[in-house]
Amino acid sequence: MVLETPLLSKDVHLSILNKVPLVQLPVNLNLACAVNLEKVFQHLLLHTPKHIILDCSQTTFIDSSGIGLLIQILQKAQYQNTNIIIWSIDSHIKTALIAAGIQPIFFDTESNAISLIERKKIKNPLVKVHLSVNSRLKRAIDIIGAIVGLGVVLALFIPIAIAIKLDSPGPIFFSQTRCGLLGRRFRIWKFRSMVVNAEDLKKQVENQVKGPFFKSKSDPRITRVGNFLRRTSLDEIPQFWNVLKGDMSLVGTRPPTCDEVDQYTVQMWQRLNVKPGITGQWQTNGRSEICDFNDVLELDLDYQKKWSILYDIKLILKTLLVVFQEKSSAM
Amino acid sequence: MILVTVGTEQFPFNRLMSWIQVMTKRGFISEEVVVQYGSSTTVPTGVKSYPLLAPEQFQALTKQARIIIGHCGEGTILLLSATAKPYILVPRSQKFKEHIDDHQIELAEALAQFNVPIAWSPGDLVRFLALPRIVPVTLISATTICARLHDRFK
Repeated sequence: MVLETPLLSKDVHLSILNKVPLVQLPVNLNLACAVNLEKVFQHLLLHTPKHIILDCSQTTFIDSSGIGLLIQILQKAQYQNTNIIIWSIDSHIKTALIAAGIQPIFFDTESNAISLIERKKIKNPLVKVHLSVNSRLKRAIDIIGAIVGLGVVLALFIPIAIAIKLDSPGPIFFSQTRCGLLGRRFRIWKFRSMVVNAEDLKKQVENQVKGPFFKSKSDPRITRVGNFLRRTSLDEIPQFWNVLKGDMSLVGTRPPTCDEVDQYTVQMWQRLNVKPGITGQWQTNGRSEICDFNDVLELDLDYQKKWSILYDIKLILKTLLVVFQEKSSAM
Repeated sequence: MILVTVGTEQFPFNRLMSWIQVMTKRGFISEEVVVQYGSSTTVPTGVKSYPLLAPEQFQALTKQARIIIGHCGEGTILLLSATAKPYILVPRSQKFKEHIDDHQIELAEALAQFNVPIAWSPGDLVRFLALPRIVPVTLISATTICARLHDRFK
């Protein structure tokens, strides 16, 4: 069977040869393309083919929604025993996909191709990333802020460590895998504010918010010291280490857990087009009042629109104000 | 039958060899493949392969072939432009140590403007196999190529 169908736009093609579908991904795999491709894949997967080949030879840019789409179709395909195989992928995009948790076995390494960039058809594929991602000034502010923040951690470490240890058995720090820029997985660090087996107990706690994130006002897993650390935001300060390493920024989106990201639609992935932050619009606009994930998403996208260095500085100052007010009420 | 030819360069063209391999592995090629692999150091499995073909042997194979896949060398282009079979050209690149420079890429870019089928990736080969087309012979006579290249690089 031979079938060639130009689909949706001039740079997305579906060819079927010997019953094996080959999908040519577009030059820019962004939200708009991801939404269209999602429908194509839904349709293709209905026929439960043995393989689907994704030809990435044209693709020079991918945003978070593009990565989200690929992760989603890989999961859906695996569930119904269809193999998705990625061909001719640019090495930078491959690195990003692997960082976001896509296994290297999905790539056919014998399919190296000459990319559009090498043929000088695409001048600068990076111009489409969010401005904040490549801003050196933002990075400089992050490094300075992180050094100052780690100074505070050092100064408060001994009293906090003693308090945590006395209050509940277990380690001082809590670490968890989170999804950062373009879904890149990293280990986030906090002072432990919950009992040790908190993850296992999560099922017994009622989620009080709508959508793929978790919040509970009176979470019984939180320890007494933990409650104090949370009210004063002191539990968050080890994240300055993540900022120094570059996993996070001082200001950005709230870093989601991997379970949350697994439930994202391609639209929701948009929030990962910028680095996650210790603070952000979400934290400074009445942090505990937001009960619907769509509001979180809206705030995140609004931040991406409004972003400038000045806006970041404004949010940092606003955060300090909120934290000191909370602290004085917590004392 | 699909005939694959990489000319007589002293450089390997392993990338094309692995493309053929990976296309077979994924089920896009189910017919007989004959490969003239030249100096390539990897050769796909499950194919008839020869390092070099005598001219009369080559002629006979092009007559038998349904489709021809060739490297984008001048000699190969001249041979292929004389056949009436659908063929597609794959340029060698300096980056992958397939030639001393990127002249095959430049030639391929120029030929693509004449609507000559060019494969930059194995995906392009699959799309060509799904929908082969014959290159109009008159379009790529030596003089038009020269004129075109002259215009392009003057």
